Amino acid sequence: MTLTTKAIKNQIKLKLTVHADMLVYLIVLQIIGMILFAFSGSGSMGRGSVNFSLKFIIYSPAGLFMLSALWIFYVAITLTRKETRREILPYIRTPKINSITDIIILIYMSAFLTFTIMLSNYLLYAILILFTKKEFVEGMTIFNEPKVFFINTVAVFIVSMVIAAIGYLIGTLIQISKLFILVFIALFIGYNSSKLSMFIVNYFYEQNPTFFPFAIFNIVIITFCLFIANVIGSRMEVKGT
Amino acid sequence: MSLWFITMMPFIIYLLITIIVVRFIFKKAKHFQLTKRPTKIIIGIYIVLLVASVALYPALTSSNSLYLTDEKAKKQLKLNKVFEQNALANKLTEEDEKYLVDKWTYILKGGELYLKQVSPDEYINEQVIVHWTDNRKQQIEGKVYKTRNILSNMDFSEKVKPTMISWSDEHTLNFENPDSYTFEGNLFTDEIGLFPFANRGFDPFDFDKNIGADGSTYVILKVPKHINVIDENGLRMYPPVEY
Repeated sequence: MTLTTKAIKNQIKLKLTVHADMLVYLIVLQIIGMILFAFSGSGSMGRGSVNFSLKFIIYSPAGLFMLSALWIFYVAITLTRKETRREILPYIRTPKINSITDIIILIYMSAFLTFTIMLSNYLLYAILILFTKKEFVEGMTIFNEPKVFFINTVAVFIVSMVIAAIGYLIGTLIQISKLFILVFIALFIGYNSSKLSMFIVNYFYEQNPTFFPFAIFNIVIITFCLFIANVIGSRMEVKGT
Repeated sequence: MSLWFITMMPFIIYLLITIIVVRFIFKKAKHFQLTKRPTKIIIGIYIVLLVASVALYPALTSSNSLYLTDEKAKKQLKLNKVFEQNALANKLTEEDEKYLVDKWTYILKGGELYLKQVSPDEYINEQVIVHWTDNRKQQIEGKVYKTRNILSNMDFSEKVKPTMISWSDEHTLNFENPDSYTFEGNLFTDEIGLFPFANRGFDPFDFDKNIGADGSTYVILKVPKHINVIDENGLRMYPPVEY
């Protein structure tokens, strides 16, 4: 084992210990989510005919995913904060190692988020079946459609990594100047009302609803955001020394 | 108020509650300064609970009393079709008699029997099958059957009422939809709507993809040949013509 690999390994261990509380935050967030979604589900649909109408409350991981996405965004920003970096500064050897370990931590956190989101739906189901009189119609589950479960899991992981990467980039830029907060708010509003967002929705969701274009597009975004953030981050640390 | 705001409103309310609760918990937790050991225990317990709930899932799904297996639902769908064929051919078996809801005889006045839908603009899930008899009297025999209503592998037959049938003017048979039944159910799925490519598009209302048998009310009438049946609303069902 080279010295760099050993340093990376030790730093990951250290960062995981420092940020372990974040995982408890996520668990608390998911438990609150489960309590609230237990009443309303994460969506609904209905259809009526002359003498027979159906209304379904949908229990899917979608609601918890949206909430947990905010958590990963917060985690990514926290990793770039000066206070957090100062806390583990004595252990950091080079900016490069710090960046690599940050990325590994984000992958680890996203994987934990994905794992807990996809399975928390089953925990909610078990609670509702055991403690209420709710009856369920079985949709696509890990038992009858493992492929659907697997692809959704990978998609959740990719999207949470995108959010983490964007959060990491935003956090890094905010360390340079707080004015970037305003820039990002403006960009967010501008993006949502722009033709670009419509093009993305139209291209990936309506015209090409297949996995690979979606995955490649998002991996490019992840790589771009993390690369820019690392370039800026390493320059900042050189300045600081 | 914009549609975006209305859609996001429950989410925003939820988010506010979450922020308040999380802030409160961690404000209190600061006083206790948890070591890393409880953190690991909490994470461990949560993971064990999640894995256990997945392992429990197959055992819990069978508790749905309305649920039929694919095999049973397909069998029922076939039985509904067989019933219809038998009813049209006037060859109902003992097995088919389990769908019987009501039976009566009626003495008609005049030479015409009118079939009338009370609300002609509404769709009515009902079929009238007429079998001719050599009886010289004015006697009409009627039997009402209702086949099973299965949707998304759930049997709603006991909940959906048959078409209401009544006589008026001594020669008109009236048909009316029963009170509408609303089923409020819950759908459990791993599909996340944000990823259309990852989903099979499970829709409990998709009658083509899911096993469903939309049961009908069948009124089988035995009518003397000399009586003319007048059906202005198209309620009568005829056996297929073989060329």
